[in-house]
Amino acid sequence: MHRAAYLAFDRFPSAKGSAVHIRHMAAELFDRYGGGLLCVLGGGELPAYQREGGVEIVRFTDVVPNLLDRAEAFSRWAADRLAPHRDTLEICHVRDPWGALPALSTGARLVYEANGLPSIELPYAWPLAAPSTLAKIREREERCLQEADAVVVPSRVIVKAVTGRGAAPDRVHLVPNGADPVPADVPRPPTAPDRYVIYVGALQPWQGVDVLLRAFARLADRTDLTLVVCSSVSPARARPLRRLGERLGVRIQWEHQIPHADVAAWLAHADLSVAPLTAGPRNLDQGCSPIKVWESMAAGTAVVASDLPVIREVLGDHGRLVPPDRPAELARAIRVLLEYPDACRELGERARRHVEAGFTWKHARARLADVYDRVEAH
Amino acid sequence: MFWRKQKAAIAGFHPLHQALIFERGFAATHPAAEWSALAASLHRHAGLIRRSKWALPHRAIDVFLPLLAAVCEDLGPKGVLAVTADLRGIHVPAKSHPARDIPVRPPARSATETWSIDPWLRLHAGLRDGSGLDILVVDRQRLRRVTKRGSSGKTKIKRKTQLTQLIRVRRRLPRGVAGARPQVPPPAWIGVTLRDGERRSVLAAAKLPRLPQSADEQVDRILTVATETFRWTR
Amino acid sequence: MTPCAVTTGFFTLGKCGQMAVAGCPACGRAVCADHLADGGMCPECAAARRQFGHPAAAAAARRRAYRHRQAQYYGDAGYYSGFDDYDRAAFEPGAAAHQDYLDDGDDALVDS
Repeated sequence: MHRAAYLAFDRFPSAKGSAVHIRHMAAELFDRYGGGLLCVLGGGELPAYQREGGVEIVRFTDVVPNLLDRAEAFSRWAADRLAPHRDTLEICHVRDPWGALPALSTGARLVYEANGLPSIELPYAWPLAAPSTLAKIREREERCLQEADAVVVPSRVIVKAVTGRGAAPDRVHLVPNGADPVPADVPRPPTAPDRYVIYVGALQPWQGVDVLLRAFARLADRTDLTLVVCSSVSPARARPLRRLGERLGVRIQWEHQIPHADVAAWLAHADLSVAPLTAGPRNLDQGCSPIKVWESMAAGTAVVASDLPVIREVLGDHGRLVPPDRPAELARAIRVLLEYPDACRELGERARRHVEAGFTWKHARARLADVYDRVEAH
Repeated sequence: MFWRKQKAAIAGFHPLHQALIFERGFAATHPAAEWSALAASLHRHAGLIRRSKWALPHRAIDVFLPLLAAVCEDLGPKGVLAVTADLRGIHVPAKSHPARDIPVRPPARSATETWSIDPWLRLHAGLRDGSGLDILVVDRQRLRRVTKRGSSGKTKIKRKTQLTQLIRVRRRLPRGVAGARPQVPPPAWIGVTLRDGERRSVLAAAKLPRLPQSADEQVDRILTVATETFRWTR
Repeated sequence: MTPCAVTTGFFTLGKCGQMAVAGCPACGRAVCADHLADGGMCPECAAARRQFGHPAAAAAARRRAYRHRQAQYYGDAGYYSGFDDYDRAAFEPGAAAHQDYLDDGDDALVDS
């Protein structure tokens, strides 16, 4: 019998930033309640059932081709998993409406972690989704957010979207993402080029990797420089961007789905890290707290990023901001920083100290613990 | 002439509306458009008719109309809905079985039991998805009269009534459609059976131990039983 | 011809499907002449704004209220919003923005 449950419609563990996030948040929850139930997506080689000390991990493994059907099936499956713990369950931590609905039916306290809102984000991956469908999804979000005892958000930008959907402002808590400090003597990855600029993350259109490629085409005279893309998705998904890179004649080294533990080494030895997010509604209205930026800062690497409210919140003046969607501006910023390696190193050091002083995962977990304290006292 | 204006108003009502006023019931089969004409006519009633003798039977406006609206939504352009409504109430002599004696022991001298059965609403609709929907609502009353004689020789007559309601819904599935057990089981007060055959049918039945206390609850109960049959297909 | 995308029915949900003549200014879906409610909106948007002048708007409000109540009663999440085939079609594997991928499990609803 468990006192806590964490539900996520996401594969865990995986190479994506969300998996890092789930690991830290779930660890805090389960440390606090002496174990618990973790319901996530399975697939691949992952076992359907796993027990680690007090933590039970159950994975949804049904093959349902339609995403909406899969989400609904996950919801029903999660409700069945939660049912035996109904009497003892005190708190449920969820990340999306399909996890929140079964959690609400148990009567336990609900902590809704709104990293993103499906009604804003789904149309990017599923362009045929009709406005009426998104309105239905939004309706669900509203219901879940209104009934949640606490809403945890990673950035100030998303607070507006969440309160606009009916979450009480005094129940919305800011818990920014973080990154673990990287030891100074982390070994250089064996396949790393001499001098490289790095991009880490997924390749959705709103990540702006195409802008970065175009910017790099303008740096063709720097023959000593390579662009390393650590993609969290498979080579098949990266195909359109690879083709674009070939057409532009950019020197790119693709690293696909490398384990998260190895990413830090890649970041630490890079000259620069780039986060070229675009200025679309996903980044402007919904916001995010990009883990790639946090991890680059923790690795002591200078960051060049798009000048968006979400980035400014993370980076402050510890990095270089450039206007979004402008390859020429991005190329110039990269060129200038490479011309002044001392200033660049100093920028990276400042960023590292900033993260170590208040934005490691330890700090994020402490902030989350405060939220749990409040929910319990409520 | 008395009630001249109200008589003229009634003459302008829908024929089935007139039947509800004068006969307190009707049996008719019509497409959705005709039923919405009846609904429009019924909505005008309260503004025009004040004589209590010509009032609409209770359940006509607050139970029958919402059900009609719900079922007509699903009729489609070609479907028809057959309605047999008998809103005279349960106390009409024709609805009671003859009283029958039941065994007693002292101090009761004699006791009789009378059953009254009032099937006040029966709907049959051919829906646009090809299924046929039958809804039957029956009120049943048991009345017991007991005659007692006390030790001082005084005779008392006691009456006890028990009123229950049966709601039965049958949905004949379209040809070739298989039934499926829903993920969430039906509530305990509804029994569901899936009947096999060339055309499968889903039967849902509920017996309410007491009558719903309000019209809203009544409509809700009937719709819930009807909806149950739609949860058994994918 | 653009078919009217207004949801009709009470027990069985479906699209109206007649020829659309306008788009709802609030949600953008195609609406036929029979379903144009107050302000040129679709019945559901009109009902959401408490304008029940059109019979279809009243029907939409009744259906929504009933389904909402039923969902709470059954604790059945799927029943509540009632995604229909039209909603589902947009999420078939072939409808994704990136056609050329094998399912590598990247199917999260949001990315953090």
